[in-house]
Amino acid sequence: MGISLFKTGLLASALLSVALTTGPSLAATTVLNVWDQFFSEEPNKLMNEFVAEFQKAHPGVEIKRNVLDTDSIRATLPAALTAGQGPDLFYYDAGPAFLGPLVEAGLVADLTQEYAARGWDKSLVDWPVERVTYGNKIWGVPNEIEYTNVYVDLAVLDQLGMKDKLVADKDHPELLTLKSLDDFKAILEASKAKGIVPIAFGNRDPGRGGHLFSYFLTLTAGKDLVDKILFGDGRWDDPKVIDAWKLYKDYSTAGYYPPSPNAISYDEGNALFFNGAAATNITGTWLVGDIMGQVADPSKIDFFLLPSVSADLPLSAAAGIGSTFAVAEKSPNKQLALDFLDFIMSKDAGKRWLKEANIVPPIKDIDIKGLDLPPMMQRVVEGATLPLSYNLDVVMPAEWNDAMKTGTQSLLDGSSTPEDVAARMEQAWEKAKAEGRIWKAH
Amino acid sequence: MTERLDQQSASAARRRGGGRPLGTAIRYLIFLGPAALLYVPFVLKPLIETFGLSLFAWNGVSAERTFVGLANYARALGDPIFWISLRNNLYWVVTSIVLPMATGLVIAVLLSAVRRGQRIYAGIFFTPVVLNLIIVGLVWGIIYNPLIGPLNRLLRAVGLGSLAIGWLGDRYAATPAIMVAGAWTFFGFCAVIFLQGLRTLDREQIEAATIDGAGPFRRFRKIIVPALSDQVTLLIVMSIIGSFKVFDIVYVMTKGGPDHASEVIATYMYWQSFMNGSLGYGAALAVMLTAVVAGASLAMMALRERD
Repeated sequence: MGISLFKTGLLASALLSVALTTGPSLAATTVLNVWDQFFSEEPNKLMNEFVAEFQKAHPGVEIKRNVLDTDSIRATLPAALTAGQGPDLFYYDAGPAFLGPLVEAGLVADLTQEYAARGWDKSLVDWPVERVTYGNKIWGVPNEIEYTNVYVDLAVLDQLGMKDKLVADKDHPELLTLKSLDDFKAILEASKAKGIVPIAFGNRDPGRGGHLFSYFLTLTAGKDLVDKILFGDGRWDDPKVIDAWKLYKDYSTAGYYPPSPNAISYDEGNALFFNGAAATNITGTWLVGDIMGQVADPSKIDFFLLPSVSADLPLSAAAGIGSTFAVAEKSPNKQLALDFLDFIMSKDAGKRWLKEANIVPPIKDIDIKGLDLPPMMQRVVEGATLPLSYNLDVVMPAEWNDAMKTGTQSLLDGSSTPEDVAARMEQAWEKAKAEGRIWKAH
Repeated sequence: MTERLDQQSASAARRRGGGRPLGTAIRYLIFLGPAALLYVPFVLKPLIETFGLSLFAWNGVSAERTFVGLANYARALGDPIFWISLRNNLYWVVTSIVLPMATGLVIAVLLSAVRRGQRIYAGIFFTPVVLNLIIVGLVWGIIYNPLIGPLNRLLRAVGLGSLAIGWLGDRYAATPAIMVAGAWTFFGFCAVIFLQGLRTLDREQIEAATIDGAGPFRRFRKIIVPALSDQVTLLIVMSIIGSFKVFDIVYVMTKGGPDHASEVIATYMYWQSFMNGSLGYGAALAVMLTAVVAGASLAMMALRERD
């Protein structure tokens, strides 16, 4: 009896200690794992603030961020999701080479109903949502509108006596443009004559050349032709596509890029511009944050949009969403992940993305009055309302991207012609199309 | 005597009824077991699984894998970038055998003659070995930079401005430029290994050769080099393996570009597997790489044993 009592007591103590040690923690904390790519200072800080505020408003919820660069998340996320060890919520490339296969494998939650339930179908801009739509279903929540542009050092432009070349666009007076591409050429020639690099450009990572190509294609062909290629019977060896490559190549032949751009990294190319050694920098709105943070006097930097080759094409640029938020299909915390998304995609949060992280969220009707945005950021917001075309690498299959990106390098070293590169892109496109690996929104 | 002991132990084993095979098996198990516990799950199993994966067309995430047999291997044989990568790997093998080993040997011979501070000098030469290859890649990236790099500045300063090119962006110069950076990280290791070999050298033999009239070059060729054959074998095998496995320094410096010109099998395998969504093909490249490394290493060791 004594022994039995002792055993009972021991068991009770053990159960009590287990209950005391594990019970409360199990009940109290739900962990939401988030993998994102906000490694730049301001977006990272803002995300941490969002996390802290959400946790405060949701006691018992802990958000664990895993901040990865693009290459790392591409290399690890698919395997992690497949193994059931991945995050609940992730920020990943939206294209058919990245999000597409995850969608097809059933690893991503279908958010179509959530768009209606949470009002995202009304609050978010349509075209960014279309970029995360596959087969008429919505699989992600985009958080950034970005587009290509030409940054210009106003001090250098003044020094060149070319400031008057910048004009306000007739339909969007807040936006700066040029009367024609000849005016751009005049600025570049004047820079070259003064020993200033006309266009800061580093193409060691050929994604940068890809942005130039996407932009030049917008100027020579417009969005309609790209739409025809992506969703109809258009071809990548179309003469207007070749024209875009010729423009890219001509600027190289004319000496508008720095020497050996294939040997210069993206950051080194930008540094040329930041240091005043280059007159212009063709890149995208994603660089605004770096300009604000790294240029000694950001007020001397502004941007303009290049006019199209043909007068019947509207003022435009190559645009994309970069990456998108998506929810893991196997996540046990789907609703929590969606609540967090709701929180960071609200109008109030949208203002903070703009003001604190220099990111233009695809949220409709954000009132920027009173936000005290720098003039350049105000222009970025205005530019996001243009009829924008495609920043192609994000929406294209991997082998097409390889043909395009290696083309940007081989054109610069003279081992390919514009026609060669266009033919390789068409070949890669046809292969991916035949294998069903292209983006089909509808 | 040993023979008699063996016979006694064998007959004792027979008397115990277990026989020799069981005892030997247990002994093998005791000695090999701990290693096998690590080797089987972490080396053998992934190797077999990678081979299995190479027989499928799979994007790495899809629930469906299509069995394609040896098609991924056939694809590699018809893939020009695979051949560029393999050619570059072979360049790496040759360069990493010749450049750092030759430099390391010369340094070791010179260091062996140093009486005071030999270890300090060896330590200095060994420093690049302990540096992370990512750091090495970044530092050499700056050295080769066409805008601010010291190499081009130096070339221009000495009147060789025509040789100042964009090293990492030139399809012909990129691979040699990365190989020089790679060799820089290995020569110190070679020097230390050779130095250790030189310490065991029979000094009397060298003195005798000197008395017999052999000059420094002859002594180096006829006595020192043959005496270092074990070290040479070790370093060659390490060079072969390292050269075929090279990845990080190439990835950091050029990502295999421009236009795949500096690609090696490991970077191409990574690109195919994780960026291009061809995990089956990437696995086939991995298997081919493993076979080449194993074959070359075994051939080298067989040659060495025959000598």
